[in-house]
Amino acid sequence: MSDPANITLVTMDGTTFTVPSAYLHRSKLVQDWLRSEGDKQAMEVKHVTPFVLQGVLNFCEIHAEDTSEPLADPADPTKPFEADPRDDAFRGMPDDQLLQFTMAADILQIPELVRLTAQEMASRIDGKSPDQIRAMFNPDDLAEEDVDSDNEMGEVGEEGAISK
Amino acid sequence: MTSPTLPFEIIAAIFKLLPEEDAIGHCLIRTDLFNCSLVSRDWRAIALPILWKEVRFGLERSFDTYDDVSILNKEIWLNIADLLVDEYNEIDDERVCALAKALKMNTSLRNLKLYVDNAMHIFMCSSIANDIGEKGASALAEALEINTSLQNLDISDNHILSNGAISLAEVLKMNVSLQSLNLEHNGIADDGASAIAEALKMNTNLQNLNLAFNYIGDKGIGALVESLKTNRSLQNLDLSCM
Repeated sequence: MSDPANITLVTMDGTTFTVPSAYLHRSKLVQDWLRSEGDKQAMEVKHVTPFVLQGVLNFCEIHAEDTSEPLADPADPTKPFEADPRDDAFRGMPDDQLLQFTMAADILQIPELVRLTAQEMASRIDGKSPDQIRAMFNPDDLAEEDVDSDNEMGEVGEEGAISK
Repeated sequence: MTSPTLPFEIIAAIFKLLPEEDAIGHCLIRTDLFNCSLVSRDWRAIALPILWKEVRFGLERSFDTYDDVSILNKEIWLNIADLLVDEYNEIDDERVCALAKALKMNTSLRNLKLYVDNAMHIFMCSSIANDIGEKGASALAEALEINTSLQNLDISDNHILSNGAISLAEVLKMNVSLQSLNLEHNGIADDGASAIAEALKMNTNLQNLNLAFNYIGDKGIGALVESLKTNRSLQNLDLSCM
């Protein structure tokens, strides 16, 4: 490792980001990597696009100085969620971007970012119908999957359709 | 670019963070979570344990695994969703007809009484704000003509009246799967009881029949008693509190 104060991350397409290691102290993935393979030149972060990684690093930079206790369970509903004005960028972004940031937060194992994105997802689901939620998330993978899986029950024709 | 598929833990985290909704009476309304459970099978498997601590059919079937969840087809889930989302969880004829249609397609459902045990026991389907009338009963009867797996049917505390009982009696003559039928509190009078009595003479499988809290008079009781002379399967007949 050339510079112990900095860490270089490489995304799926080869774009590199060099940031102070201190920024990523909340990322369990990065910390584990530093311990085991910290002598290598750069850490590969596959499955994350440069745009998303940039956003994640911005988040980390903003919160680098935070002294709050690390979040043990990002989904603990008993811990009140306080909207931080510094994170407004996440609240304004389109659904598909938010989804990618949620994935990235999970990949890099940053509980604070998981909490932020999951909270935002939850508030967007609020008041939506199953179809709207499906459209919001993964139209390709989620649509109409139930119909095929009901072979055991026999095909449900138009007669069985429920009009809302 | 196709959106990525979120991992299980993240979806579970999102579900847990969904805003709490109001309670109506003793029923906690969690429309958002329920809508999520209808998004896909994976989502349903994640949402159900959060939505209901325990979901079971009758006393034997519980929803603890992915396979348990998929035993019911989509139509039934949609109906349950509608029931839950409705402000007062009313079950009316229209909904029962839809449920009956779904039942025709279903080969694995054994008990129709649906319990939902939340932190505060929510009983759905036939045991909450019931409004299954004559039409609903005849739709159920129609479904039973085709369905050969249902063993327990509980439509107590409704008002199917004598005509509803007559529809059900018609199908009882042929049905070979039903073992328990609960028609308690349904406003059934002599005509309905007589029709059921006729059916009992032909039915060979029904073991439990509950007709308590109806308006069956001497004539109806007489017919039922008469039918027991030939019926070989019935083990429990409840005629209390007429």
